[in-house]
Formats: sequence, C-alpha cells, structure tokens
Amino acid sequence: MPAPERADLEAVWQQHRRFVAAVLLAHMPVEAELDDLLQEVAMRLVRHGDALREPDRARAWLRTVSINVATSDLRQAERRRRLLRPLTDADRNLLAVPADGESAEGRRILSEARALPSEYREPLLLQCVEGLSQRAIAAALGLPETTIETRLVRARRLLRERFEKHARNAP
Amino acid sequence: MTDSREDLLRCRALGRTATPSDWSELDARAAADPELWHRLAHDLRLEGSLARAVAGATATADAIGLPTPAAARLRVPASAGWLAAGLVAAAWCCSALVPAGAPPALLDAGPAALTRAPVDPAALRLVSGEIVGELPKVLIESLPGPGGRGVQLVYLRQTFERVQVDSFVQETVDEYGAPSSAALPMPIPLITENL
Repeated sequence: MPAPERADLEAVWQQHRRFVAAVLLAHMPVEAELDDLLQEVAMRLVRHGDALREPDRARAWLRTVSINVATSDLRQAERRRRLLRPLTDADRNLLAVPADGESAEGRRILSEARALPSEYREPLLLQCVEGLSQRAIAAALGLPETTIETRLVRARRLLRERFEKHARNAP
Repeated sequence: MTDSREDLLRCRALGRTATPSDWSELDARAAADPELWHRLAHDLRLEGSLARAVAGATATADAIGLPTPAAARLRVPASAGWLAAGLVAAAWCCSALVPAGAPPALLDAGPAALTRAPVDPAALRLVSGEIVGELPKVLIESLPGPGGRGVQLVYLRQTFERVQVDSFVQETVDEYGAPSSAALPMPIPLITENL
C-alpha cells in the first residue's frame, strides 16, 4: 500500500483529532497543556505519517502516539517545575476567569473523571469528548464490547460516588 | 447503594444504548422504587456537566491543524519554549541592563505593569523593533464560555524579537537617592546558548 499523501493525513487528522484529545485527556499529567500535546501528536503524524499505510489502523496508531506523548510530557513537566517558579496566588488571580456555579461543577466532575483508574477514565472520556459508541471504543482499545460496557458502568458509579462524597464534605 | 443491574440499566440509558426491554425493566423497577427516576435525573445532570466541561477539549482539538512538513521539521521542542521563558525571566531580573533610548515609561513599569496594564503595541514596537519568530502558544486555561457559548482561552504568546542596541546603561541610585545611570561596556555575546 502506498504512503499516504498530504491530503490523506489532513483527512486522518480532521477525523480523529477529538479522539486524540480524549486519549490525551485520559493519560496526560493534570498540569499538562492539551493544546501543546495535540500539536505534538499532529507533528508526529506529519513526520511519521508514512508509517500509516492502513487507514483502518489510524485510530490505534494515533492512540499509541498520544499515550507516548502524554507519558513523555510527565518528564518535561518535571523539568519545567525545576526551571520556572510556581504560580503565586497573585498570578492565579490575574489569570482567573470568573466561573459560575455550573462551570465550577463541570470542572470538579472533569477533575474527578481524570482521577479515575485509567481503565475506566479512557472509555468514559472517549464517550464524552468524541461521542464514540461502545463498539467503536472497543475497537479502538482492542477489547470486547462487553468489557467496555462493564468499565463504563463502573466508571459512572465511581464518578457518582466521588462526586457525592465531595458534595457531602464541601463546606 | 444501588445494585449492579440498576447501574447497568442507568448506564445504558445515559449512553443511549438502552433497548425497549431495558426501558420496560427500568419502568418496572421505578414502579417499586420511584427514587430511581430521581437517581437517573442526577446521572443526567452529572453527564451534562461533564459534557460541558470537556467541550473546551473539543474546541481545542478543532482549533489544531496539521502543520506543514517544513513547520514540523523546524518546530522548536516544547521544552525549548520553557527554556526561552526562563531566559526571558532571567533577563528581566537583570533589567538593570536596559537599552539606551528605550521609552522610560515602559521600562520603569516593571513586570507587574507589563502583565496587568493594556500593552500599547506602538510603544512596544519602539523597543522591540522586529518580531522574528514565535514559539507555540502555551494554553494556560480553557473554560466553557458564559452561558455555554464558545470557549474562553487564556494563553501565553512567546515571541522572538530582534533589536539593534548601540549602548547599554545601568540604572542605579546615587548617594542622595536620586535615579542615576552609568554607561556600561557592550556585553557581547549576551547569550551564547542555542535555543
């Protein structure tokens, strides 16, 4: 099969970039920047896209690259912490965007979702960000559909329990 | 505490994969336990909040295009951006070294004013002269926009700038506490490291 043309790579990226975002969200360090990591994955697709000769394998290839990028960002985050001073409260006040109650709840639940065990958070985020069906998630992760359904049930139950526990403990 | 069968039915309802027989079973269970609808409503609320929270990630993904092959080859690694930011911060700490003829208002304002006050692009040009490149933007924060419309992004732009400097002065304070300046020899090279 011939190496993909530029237009093929563009099509692959446009079709799968939300999937890449969901995988990155599930695997990247909490303080990492999604924007940076997405650019890194896009760059690797351009550099190494000729390895992508089978379009059907695009999701699996992008998932592997995304997990590698997210993992290596952990090491870069360590270097950044050594180079730069941490943000002060004054910095945070400067950058803070006023949040209404609804977006505060959204941020809390997203934070809880990203703290779930990885086998639960990835299918959950793939369904939320990309709107993938259980069958498509199963194909992307190489797992039986019934396993994905079980993981989604457990993910939602854990998320609900953690959210309710947080709500009970809130002042 | 809910049983696992109910969890499965609620998950199918949320994921829109519930079959007619699943809904019938939910109906039958709710007849005996009306609180089930309340629990399902709570699930829907959390699901909606999570969906709105990840909308920022979706918008970020949609905004990222594929770089050209040339840009991909030339792209500065993300770590270099932080190194550059560190060098800029270090240069700011050494701000006693200022180019002669630079606008005093901008130079005296200090880091706080540079970040808080609206920057006058024309005044900035007097110092910077020429922007020769830009590192990838660094996303600080992304949140759903007010009322769910759009996304609010706070990001850091990092530019490389070139300026011609004919002399350097060091700003000090004399024995009477008055601002004073003294000419300095040209410290070349200022930075020898490659980014």
